[in-house]
Amino acid sequence: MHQRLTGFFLVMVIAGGAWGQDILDNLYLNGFISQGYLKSSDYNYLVHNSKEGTPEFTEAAISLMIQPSEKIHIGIQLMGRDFGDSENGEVHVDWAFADYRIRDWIGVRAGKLRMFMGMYNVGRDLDMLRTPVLLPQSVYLETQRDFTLAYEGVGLYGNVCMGKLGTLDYEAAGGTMNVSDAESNFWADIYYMTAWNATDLYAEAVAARYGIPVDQVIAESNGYSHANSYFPWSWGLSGTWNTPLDGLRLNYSFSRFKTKGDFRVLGSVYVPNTSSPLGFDIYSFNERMYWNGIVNMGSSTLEYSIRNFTFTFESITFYPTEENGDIQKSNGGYFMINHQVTPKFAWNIYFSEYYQNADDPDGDEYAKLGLPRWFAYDQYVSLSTRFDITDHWLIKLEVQGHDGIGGLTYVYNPQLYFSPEGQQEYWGMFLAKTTFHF
Amino acid sequence: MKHFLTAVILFCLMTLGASDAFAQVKVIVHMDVTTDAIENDALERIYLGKLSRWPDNSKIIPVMLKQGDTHETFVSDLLHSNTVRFMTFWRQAVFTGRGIPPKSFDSEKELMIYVSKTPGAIGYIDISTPLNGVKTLHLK
Repeated sequence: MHQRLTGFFLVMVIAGGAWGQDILDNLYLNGFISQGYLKSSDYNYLVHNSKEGTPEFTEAAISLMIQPSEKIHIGIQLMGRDFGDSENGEVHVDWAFADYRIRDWIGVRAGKLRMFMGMYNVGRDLDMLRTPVLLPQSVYLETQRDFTLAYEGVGLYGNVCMGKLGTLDYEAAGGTMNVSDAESNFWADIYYMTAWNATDLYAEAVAARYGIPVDQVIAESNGYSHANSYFPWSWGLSGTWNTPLDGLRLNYSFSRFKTKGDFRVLGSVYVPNTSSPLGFDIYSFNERMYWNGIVNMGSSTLEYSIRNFTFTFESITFYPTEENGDIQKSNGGYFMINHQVTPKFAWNIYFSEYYQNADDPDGDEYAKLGLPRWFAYDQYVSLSTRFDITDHWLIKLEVQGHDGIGGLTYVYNPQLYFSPEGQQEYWGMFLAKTTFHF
Repeated sequence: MKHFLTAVILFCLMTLGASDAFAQVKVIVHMDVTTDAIENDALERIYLGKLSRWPDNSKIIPVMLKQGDTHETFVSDLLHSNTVRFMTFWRQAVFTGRGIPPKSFDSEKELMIYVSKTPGAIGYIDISTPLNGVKTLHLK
């Protein structure tokens, strides 16, 4: 990983040092490099090794924009990111599109575009835009990053003046998504969970066949293989009302996409048998699993800026459907206060809550299984500070205090699945990050 | 946790009571611009890249100062924002490929020379700075 990103860094530093931003009248070069650190208590959060503390939180990007005529501009951004065991520094096209602004109220973009979702998804990787290290995980889930980040297709946008009612910024998107599932922790979680569940079911079937209790057999999941996921289409709409009250903006965004995929789950079950040369019989399975569904995401935002404060309320509902019927709907939201004390210093606090199952926010389903209700949610407070050392260099520090484990990834915390008793309800996280941008 | 958040909100509300000092700037345009006055909302849209044409359909070319009191006053009093928020808006536009910020200058003198030579250009200077080859645009 580091060799890939190091080479990319060198190109960026040379580019940044040599040219700055506006290299020619109609040619613009920008970039950033970030290095972060994560340390959590009790659980691995967002990445596989946060409990030990990890610097595997590196991002770098370089963008080039050209404006060949008044109404047209073309741009591309290359980005490399290492976040735990996700992405591993692979440099990829983050966005690349041509923009033709026909009128102020309508323009068209074509190419690979950042997806809107909530008020801040478009800039979610841009540290220089906010005070917290990470956006609230109730709405901007890192685990769902793959399919909320960008789409390839066509977008319409514009700004409509509504007289005394203010103005409306709108966007419409249509296309497809090219998501790499091989290194995604979201897909890994689904695959592993399915493999573990399938192993348990298989063990029950084998035990029943022998007429013995299931706890007398040993079940072992061997994970998954040959995973593929596809997003044949996606579309979305977003509107931001810039109200006549200075600083008050309201947004609603909706997007919908089709997802299909398949993978193989592998496992073995061992049944004690004294007449067998090994002392047990072995049953192995290798089953192909499929999914085929549609995912909907709807978000609402209220943002009010007054003097050096910005107050934000934002909520999202994420409701997948499958051909066989509805599957679990999740939701979340947060309230955030940002105070820009001076141009060089800001602090931020937010309260975020995420519910795995929107229809069971109190965790009744977990309680029925004899597990704590706080398995169902993640409520946390984040406090962060940002220091702009220069116009191009910033440092951030952040602490989070969590109640509940509903936001954790099972594949990074397998004990939640295998021995759910004795877990900690309250846990914490520390994050630090520095970014250079030009 | 609720008490803590309540305390934070109360602190913010108390801090909001503080008022910034008020200074004045004047908006200047190229001599050929046919408009003599502009709505404040239209000025905001121009500087956020959302309004690109004068009423006679000629192109608007906004320019700005990189920093300083005049810039801060313009952003706070006429754009109803602050310099950090304004800069953040354009950083997002640049880093997501969605827009190109107005050309910026180190001094009012450089800015005024550019406006005087560029048809459709609009900028701002301190109210005490004498005009040179440009005209003032009044706010409605």
